[in-house]
Amino acid sequence: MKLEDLGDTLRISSVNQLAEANAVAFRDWVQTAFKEGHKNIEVDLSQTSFVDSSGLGALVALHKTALRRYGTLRLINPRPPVQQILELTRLDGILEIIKR
Amino acid sequence: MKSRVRASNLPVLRLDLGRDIQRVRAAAERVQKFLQSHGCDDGSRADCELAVVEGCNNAIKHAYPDSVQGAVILEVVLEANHIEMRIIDHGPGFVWPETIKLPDPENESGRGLYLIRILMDSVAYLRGPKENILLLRKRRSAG
Repeated sequence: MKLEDLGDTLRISSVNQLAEANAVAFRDWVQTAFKEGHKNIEVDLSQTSFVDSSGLGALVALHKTALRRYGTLRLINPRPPVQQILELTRLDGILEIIKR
Repeated sequence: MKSRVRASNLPVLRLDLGRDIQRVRAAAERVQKFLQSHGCDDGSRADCELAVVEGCNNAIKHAYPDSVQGAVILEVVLEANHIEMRIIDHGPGFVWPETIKLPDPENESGRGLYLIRILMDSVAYLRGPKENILLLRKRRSAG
């Protein structure tokens, strides 16, 4: 996984999967890197082939982390199976999904 | 442990996951490949992969009290028109909820059983004195 500091936005990319085995570590890692001055979190899901309910939980946690700074969690380019899971669980209604 | 599916001629995959959560993803990938090798379509495979992950994670985390030994077994049987997946444990079991609803959007957990229910055509939890089986069935389409 890769972290980039883009001013008020923390960007995470090269995420292969968000599943039971890594979801909590992923959440903690991002929250630790979310420093003062950061407001938004961007997770590039274009290389993420699998997300399960634990991965969804990590994304909801990061959504709340960004909200506490009046910012947003943005999910970038989720693949169709991941987009489907977001829709089935209706998280597409609260999480910002961006196609670029 | 004896498998109840060995006697038939149907294609069967059987995996012993122990109680190791780290084995679940690899098992789900083996299910994917097994279904692909028997011509199942992409959509069914992806749905089965996620349902297997959720069911096995749930069984490994909740089927056994710490003091009780036991493993979680996954069996996949390819019938003519259905994929049947059985997640088996020998723990005390639990009461399957009558209704499974999505949690509040801000909740960080509680979506696993909902995903299983919505991805599968039928879901049954068979709780017995010696073993419990989460029985998942999905209609099979050609790939």
